[in-house]
Amino acid sequence: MVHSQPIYTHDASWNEAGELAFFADPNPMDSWFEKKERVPWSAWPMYQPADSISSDHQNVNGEGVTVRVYDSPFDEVDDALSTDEEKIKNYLDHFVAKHRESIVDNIKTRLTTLMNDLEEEMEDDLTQQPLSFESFKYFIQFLVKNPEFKTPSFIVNYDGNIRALWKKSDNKHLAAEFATDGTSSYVIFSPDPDHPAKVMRNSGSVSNKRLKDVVLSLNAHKWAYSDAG
Amino acid sequence: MRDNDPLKDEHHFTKLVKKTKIHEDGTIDSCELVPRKDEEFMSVDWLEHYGHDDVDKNIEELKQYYNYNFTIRTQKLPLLNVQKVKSHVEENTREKRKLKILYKPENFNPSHSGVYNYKHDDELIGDLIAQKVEKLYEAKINNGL
Repeated sequence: MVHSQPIYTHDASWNEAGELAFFADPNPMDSWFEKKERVPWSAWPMYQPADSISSDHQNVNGEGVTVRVYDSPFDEVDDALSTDEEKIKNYLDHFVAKHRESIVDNIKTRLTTLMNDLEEEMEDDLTQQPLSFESFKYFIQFLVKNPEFKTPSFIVNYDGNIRALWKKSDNKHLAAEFATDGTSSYVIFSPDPDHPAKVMRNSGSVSNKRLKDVVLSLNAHKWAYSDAG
Repeated sequence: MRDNDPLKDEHHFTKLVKKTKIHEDGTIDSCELVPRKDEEFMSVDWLEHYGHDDVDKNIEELKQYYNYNFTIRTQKLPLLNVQKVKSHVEENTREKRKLKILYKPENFNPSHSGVYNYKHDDELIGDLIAQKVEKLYEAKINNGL
């Protein structure tokens, strides 16, 4: 049960897509590098039949040295305790600060308030899920990829997903829930450009990539974009 | 009023709304104004059950109930009128959706009622209901301490 993807021991960074990317040392020693293979604790030799255990510890091949790193059963506990909250803070400090610095302070202020309130609410309501890192990540990616949008107000729903709201008035209203699978469900109220007294109302679910197309099709960009956008 | 009777058009209802479901401008998010997953209706409280002509007094009585039975911290109670909510939803949904607001008393909560005929993912209807909030009360009793 060895993970097929080696984990390189060198630096890591958030790439343009907002994913954590590992890359090799820019100055590798000679022509080889060390790579690690993670072995989940359930695959430790002590938990396996003796005849199923292959050679361990070190595997020397032509390109370098592979070191098997045996996970501790406590890693799973640590992973569980390493909450999405820490990932979210890290994401804000590194990815968002790098790609759309102007929104970091606003997001952080609102997020701090929300997280504190959410912590209290979770004590009283077991159905309330903590803020999902995946949902938060997709929300931020949308803002980074579409800098013409104003920074929205946002809340955390019962599933732990971010629900963002761009609202200028009751009839200029765009709400979007960023799910953990890269899609968003939206509600848009927007005045009909040909009959401004009439309001177009639409709701549905799209990939985050297509959300902007929906906004444009309902003319909602006129008020959902920032003045400078 | 008996179980399943519709609330009168001129009456009011409310529900306990969590602070994390309210946007910075005071807009209640639709996720708090739709039925919870796997539930047939949105639970609300019929205010006129408490018998006062003054809606503020009815809210005060409901607050007593909530503060006595639940942990109340920063939750809010939005004031909604039955007729305004029903007609706003009917007029502004493509299919002219008719919500039903029925009395559903429970032993421990005699003002309990339900908003029927929409589902968890009818977020557009949740947003329309949010537009009809007339007033937002603090749910916690201010005991002067």
